[in-house]
Amino acid sequence: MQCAEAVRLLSKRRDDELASDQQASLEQHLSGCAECRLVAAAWEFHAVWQKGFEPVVPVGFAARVVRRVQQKLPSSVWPLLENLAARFFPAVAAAVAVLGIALVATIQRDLRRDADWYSYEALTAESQRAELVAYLQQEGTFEGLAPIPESNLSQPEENREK
Amino acid sequence: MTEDDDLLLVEEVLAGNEDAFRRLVEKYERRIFGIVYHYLGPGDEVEDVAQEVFIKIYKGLSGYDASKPFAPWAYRVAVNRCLDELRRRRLRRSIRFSELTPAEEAQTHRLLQKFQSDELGDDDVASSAQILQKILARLNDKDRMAFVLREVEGMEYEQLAALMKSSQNSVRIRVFRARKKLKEMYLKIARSQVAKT
Repeated sequence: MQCAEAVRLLSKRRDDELASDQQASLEQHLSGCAECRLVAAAWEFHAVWQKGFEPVVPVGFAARVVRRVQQKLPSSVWPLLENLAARFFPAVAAAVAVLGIALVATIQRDLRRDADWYSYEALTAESQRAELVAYLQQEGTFEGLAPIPESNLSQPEENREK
Repeated sequence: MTEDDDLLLVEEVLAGNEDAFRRLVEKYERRIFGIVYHYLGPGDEVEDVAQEVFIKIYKGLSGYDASKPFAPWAYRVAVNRCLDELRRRRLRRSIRFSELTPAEEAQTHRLLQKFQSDELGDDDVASSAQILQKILARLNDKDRMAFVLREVEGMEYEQLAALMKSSQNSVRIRVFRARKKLKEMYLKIARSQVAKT
């Protein structure tokens, strides 16, 4: 028997799949071949060596896994929402603040516009127009007032005829 | 516990029973931990990777085919995660394997001789983890996976074939290829030590 065949049979022997007649032939080869005996011992040694490093599962491993799963995949919607809120609160708060400021600014602009319009409308009374004209003449900036079209009396400033 | 017990546990987990998942973890933690440890070697990331395996198992349960045994499916998740980790390590470190140093070869030969004369002690084993990992790193990833699961975890070829989604013949060839590679390494070490004397 050649060593290559002996190695193949040694592998079958490790798997407990060697037929009895093959066992006899293999033993005969091994009795005369130191290297094949070494191979048989080396394979046996390697398995023992590797099993010697059998790891011990750390205490509490299962509990840690379950905790990680709970953190990643909450079992109800509300904790999920809470997690999302906690994670995104600063960004959401900032966005709300910006929107709030913009809304207030818009409201104030509209109020000012309305206030201007109401101010002007207030001056459409003849007596108040006379007062305005006198004031402007005094300031030297009077350029003449155009007659107020009827339609402007109920329109905001941007819609009035010039 | 039988395969039917596994299926019952899986059903309970899918129904939202967290205690059922804990029992599933406790049942398979030793085997999954062992696969990760023997495949990646000792290190701090073993527990992290093992935890990630169970998280992937949990997330994948809704897609698990209940007509097939649970254990090979779970081990497959572990093996794939280990392969991903090895790829990540190679990309990061650009190291495939390193040769044993002359001192490491001498130590390996001494350990083998001690084993043959029944003198191998626990201290001998504990002090040689790095050498063992270097030797295993010389094996092709899938051959190594088949070898570790067969020789160390004691899996039958039928179970291995299901796990590796391969034929029994293919996994036998992988295990044999790994054994032949080890044979070459140990013979080389023995010849070099004999040549020194």
